[in-house]
Amino acid sequence: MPALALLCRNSRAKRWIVWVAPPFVPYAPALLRHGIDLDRVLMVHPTSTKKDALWAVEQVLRSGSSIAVLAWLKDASDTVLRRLQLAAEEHDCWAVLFRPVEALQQSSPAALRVKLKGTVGKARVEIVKCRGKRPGIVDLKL
Amino acid sequence: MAGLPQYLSLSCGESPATLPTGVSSPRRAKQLWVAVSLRDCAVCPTASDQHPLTALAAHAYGLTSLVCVEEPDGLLLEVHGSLKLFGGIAAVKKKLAAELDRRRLSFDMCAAPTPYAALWLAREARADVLESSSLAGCLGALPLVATRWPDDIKLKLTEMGVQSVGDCLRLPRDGFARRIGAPYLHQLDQALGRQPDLRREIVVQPSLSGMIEFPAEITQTAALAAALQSIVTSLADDLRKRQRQVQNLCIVFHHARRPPTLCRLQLIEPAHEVRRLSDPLIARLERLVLPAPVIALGLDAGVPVAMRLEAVELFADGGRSGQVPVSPAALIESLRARFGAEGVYGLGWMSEHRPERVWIKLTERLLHGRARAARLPRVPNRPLWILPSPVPLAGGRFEPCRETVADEWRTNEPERIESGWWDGGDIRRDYYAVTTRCGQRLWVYQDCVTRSWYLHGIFG
Repeated sequence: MPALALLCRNSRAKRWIVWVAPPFVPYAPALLRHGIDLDRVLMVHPTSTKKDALWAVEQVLRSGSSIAVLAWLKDASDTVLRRLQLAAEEHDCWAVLFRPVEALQQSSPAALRVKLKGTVGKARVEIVKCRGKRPGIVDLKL
Repeated sequence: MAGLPQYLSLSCGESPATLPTGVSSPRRAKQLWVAVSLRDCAVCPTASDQHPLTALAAHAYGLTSLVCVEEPDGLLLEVHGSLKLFGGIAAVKKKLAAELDRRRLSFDMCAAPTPYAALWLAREARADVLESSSLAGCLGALPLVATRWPDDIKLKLTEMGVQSVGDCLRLPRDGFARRIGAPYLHQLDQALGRQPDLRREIVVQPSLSGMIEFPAEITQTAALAAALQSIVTSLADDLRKRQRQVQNLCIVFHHARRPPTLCRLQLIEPAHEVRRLSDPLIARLERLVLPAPVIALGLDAGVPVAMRLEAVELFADGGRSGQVPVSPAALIESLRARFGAEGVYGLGWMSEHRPERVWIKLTERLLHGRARAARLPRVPNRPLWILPSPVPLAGGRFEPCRETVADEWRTNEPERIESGWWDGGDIRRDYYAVTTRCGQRLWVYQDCVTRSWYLHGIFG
């Protein structure tokens, strides 16, 4: 959230923060509390197939008019992810994909892969992959 | 001197063929007209019933803003203001000639400082006259037929031994006006640039609708998409020339024995670019189920609005690739074309106590004109995710207990939200933030009236 707020503040031109297929609707007051400009938030709910979600993410990345994409993807193949990654790098767009735990078994071209696990009072951040660094585990107190 | 007939000055003897063309001189006229004369106007090769000149005039608006039609065969363009943009008279003529060739019209073209001069010279396929000083000489060599004056006038002049425009100019002015007619003298003066030639530019009908009829019934989407693309391209071309934009488009698919199928598209903001118009339409077409084969495709673009020009950055922020980014509106349109207006929306915020009414889906005015909500003085801690509607916990009888919930949530003061008695949406709720055994933080509430428990949000 703070990263999104920072992106909001730093970009002059109006560029979207796109949420593709989130599980619920983000609550506007919470976003405001974190300093996110609501005018930039764009929700996209793909209709049915999982291909639609991937298509939407790719459209958003390739358009160059968005600054960040948060997408909840059920499954995606390695090549598709690589394509998304290239599009994101090409158009300066921050892409975060939320994927189910089973996807950890699959290889991914992402620069950073993180597994989050929450327990009472703390959250365990398992860095599965980080380009140029070793994987590790960080515990965060909440 | 006063008794002598007043002659028109004439610098005869200079042959038009030897006249240098394309010479720029400091005494260049302020106006430069390009005349197009169609050799055979009876042939009408365009598919529409429009006169070829009118259709051509619509195209000529791409070259200049002042276009006149001179019946029956001529088209006049004032191009002095366009010379710099297109790179000289030769380039303007080349563009116009390319369009005429495309329409398979046989024509002659000539440029001159006055409309009549340009037209008469074009009719006789003479060379361009760019200087006013040599205008009289070039016009003088033209035969009378170039003027397209009525036959009886021409006959009368021929009987007088007048064969060319130059002969006309040699006649005494008052005698010419008396015997032939003052309007013709006036025309001669206008051709020579002695009298102003005020012309009314033609107004091309806003033909923002188009129609393509197919030779056979079409069943394939690809063929329809190609037809749609061509119809939208001509629309966009038209819009660009007239500096207009459209917001609503309606595509009509005509069937042989069924009422036509309509496909409406409303853009987020008015647009005129081909891709902005065609991409959403083609995406829509791909998802459209047509009840029958299509025999004709129509396009209605409604009333155009004046083009809104936007300042773009000189060094467009196109990322590392340097590509021009798609505008924010175009992104929404391409997404909406696939997911519908309900699937793509923004978030709005209202000053309201009831949690489910604080936020709204914004499907309109996503880009402009949104009143920026004044920031809350203090936004209370709210969950990141809100459920569309509160979910009763175990049918409303569930009460968070020690097995499922970790912290001593009861010791926290609940947040009482009580509001809405005035509009029928009365609520009285006690909200708690609870943490479950597996670490999830939930936003639950107890309805103070029914004493049931509901889940309303999840903290991220």
